[in-house]
This record gives sequence, C-alpha cells and structure tokens, in this order.
Amino acid sequence: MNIDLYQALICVLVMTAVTFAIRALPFLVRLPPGLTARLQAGQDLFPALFMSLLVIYCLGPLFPLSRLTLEAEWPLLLSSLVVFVVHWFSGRLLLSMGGGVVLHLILMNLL
Amino acid sequence: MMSQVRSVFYQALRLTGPVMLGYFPMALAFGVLAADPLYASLSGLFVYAGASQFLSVKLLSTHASFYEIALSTFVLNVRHVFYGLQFKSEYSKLPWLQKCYSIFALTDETYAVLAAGLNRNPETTRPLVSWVSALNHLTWIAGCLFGAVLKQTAGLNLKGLDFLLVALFIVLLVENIKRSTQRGQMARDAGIAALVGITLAQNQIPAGLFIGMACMLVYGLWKTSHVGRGPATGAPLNDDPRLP
Repeated sequence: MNIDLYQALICVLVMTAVTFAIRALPFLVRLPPGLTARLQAGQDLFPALFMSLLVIYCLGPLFPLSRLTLEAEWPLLLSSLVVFVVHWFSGRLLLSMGGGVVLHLILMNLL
Repeated sequence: MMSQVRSVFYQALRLTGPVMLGYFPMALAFGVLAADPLYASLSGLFVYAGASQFLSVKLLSTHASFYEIALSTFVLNVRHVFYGLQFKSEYSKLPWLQKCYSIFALTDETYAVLAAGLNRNPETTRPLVSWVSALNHLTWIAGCLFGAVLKQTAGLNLKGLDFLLVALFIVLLVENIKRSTQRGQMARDAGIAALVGITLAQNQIPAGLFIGMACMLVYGLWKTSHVGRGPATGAPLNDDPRLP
C-alpha cells in the first residue's frame, strides 16, 4: 500500500490524541466511591464481557450467518472455533493461536 | 535492589509472556499490511491500539477524512474508558510520569494481564505495571517495524494473517472464563455478551460495539450491585491462589 506521508502523520496524530484522551478520561473525572468499588469487584466479569464483544466485533463478517461464503467467512468461522476449542482444552497459547492462524492462512490461501 | 528489580521483571515477563507472544506476530501482520516502516513504527509507538491501527490502514487506503478516522478510533477504543475506571485507585499511587505512560499503554491485553496479576503490595505493583506495559509496548513496536521492513525487503504477502487479532481476543476470553472461580456463571455472562454483540452486529458493527459496551457496563454494574450494601462485599482484587 502506498501511504501519503503527510496524511499518515496526521492520521497517527489524530488516532494518538483520541486514544490517549479515552484512556485518560477515567483518571480525569471523579467517581463516587461506591461505583469505583463495584467496578473493582467486577474485575473478572468486565474483561470477559468486553472480550466477548470484541470477539463478536472481529467476527462481524460472519453475521448474519446466512451470508457465509466459502472464500472469506467459513475459514474465519472454522479457525475461530479451532482456537476456542484447542485453548479451552489445552490452555497452550502457541498451540491454540498458532494452530488457528496456520489453519486460517491455509484456508484463505487455498480456498 | 537489583535483585528486586530482576525479580519484578521476571514476574512481569511470566505474566505478560503469552501476550508478547501474541503481540509480536500480530504487530508483524500490521507491519506487513502497512508496508511503510515509518508509518508502521510511528503508529506502533504513538497510537498503540491494535484494532484501530489495522483499521487505519484501510482508512488511509480509502483516503478517509480525519473526522472519519477520529470517530472510528473513538468507537473502537471507547471500551478503554472502562479499563481505566477499574485501575483508577492502583494507578493513582504511581509517580506522575509513570502514571501517564501506564495510562497511555493500557491496551486490552495489558488490561487483561494486569487485572489478573496486580497485587496490592505497592512495592511490587508500581514496577510491575511499568514492566508489563513497557514489555508489551516494545514487543508491539518491534513487530510493527519488523513486519513493514519484511514486506518492503522480501515482498511478503500473508493473506489472512490479520486473523491473529481475533485469535488473541478468543484466547483472552477463554483465559478470563477459565480463571474465574465461578466458571459456569462467567461463561453464561460471556454468552449473554456475545448474544448482545451478535444482535447489534446485524446492522452496523462500530455502532453495535459502542452500544454493546454500554449494555455490558450496565449489566456488570447490576451484577456487582451487592458491593458496598452490606457485609458481603465483592471479591478482593487478587483472589486467585495461582497468581503471585
């Protein structure tokens, strides 16, 4: 991809400013102590909820399921299932992520 | 003193090693996609937000306006607000510069690692936060730069390598569910989140993600509504016996 340097630099600047502002926001506003305690108590819950949403976000092309095509969506679905199942049962990152990525690369380049 | 630094470094390495292993090839994939070493390294150094960086390549190639770039970045990263909320008290104990850097480097994966590994001993918490953040960040920059250089020198074309991002989120989700003492309940909650996501994803993904995050915040707050109301308070920050 050919990137225009000026546009790229502005893009980096804009994204840096927005991202940092979002990350810094909770440290700039004052919250009631009760709410902070509840957020801290949900230390296991919140990451799981957000990660679920992010997984769904990344799997966006799969929905609605009736639209699945062999070229792009089936490899994504199959590889995601492989990563989930392998990591659930083995707990080994290299095996689950590596296996899923290799499978996805093979499917994407072969199909 | 040196032995303590080394001990915390190894502790951070042990905690965030899996993330570094996932980060490097993912950043490599970004570098290959961006194909410009300067843009890839600057983006890795300053933006340091995986999904947004991948999206930026697409936006730059379509000559999107800066308004579109800013809005997409906001929608994609707004979840980080909730991460910061959870670490507010821990980070407030850090020195100013360290605090600024740690806030800047609070990514999804760093959040997941710190949420699992932070303990309340300030002597180790402070350097642990920095080491975990710095190790992840350095791995990310190295991967971005290496990927772009590889693309320029070897003309590498790895169609489908961006799946690493999905794989990493799935692994982090599984880890979160498995780590929980109430696995069944956690899996059910994650399933509810997924259903909300699927429902919202039917139409427009970025807006769906934003609404989904808000729904999950409300749901999470409802689930923790018992905290502070009586003797049964929420779980302590580090209740997992396997963690240091």
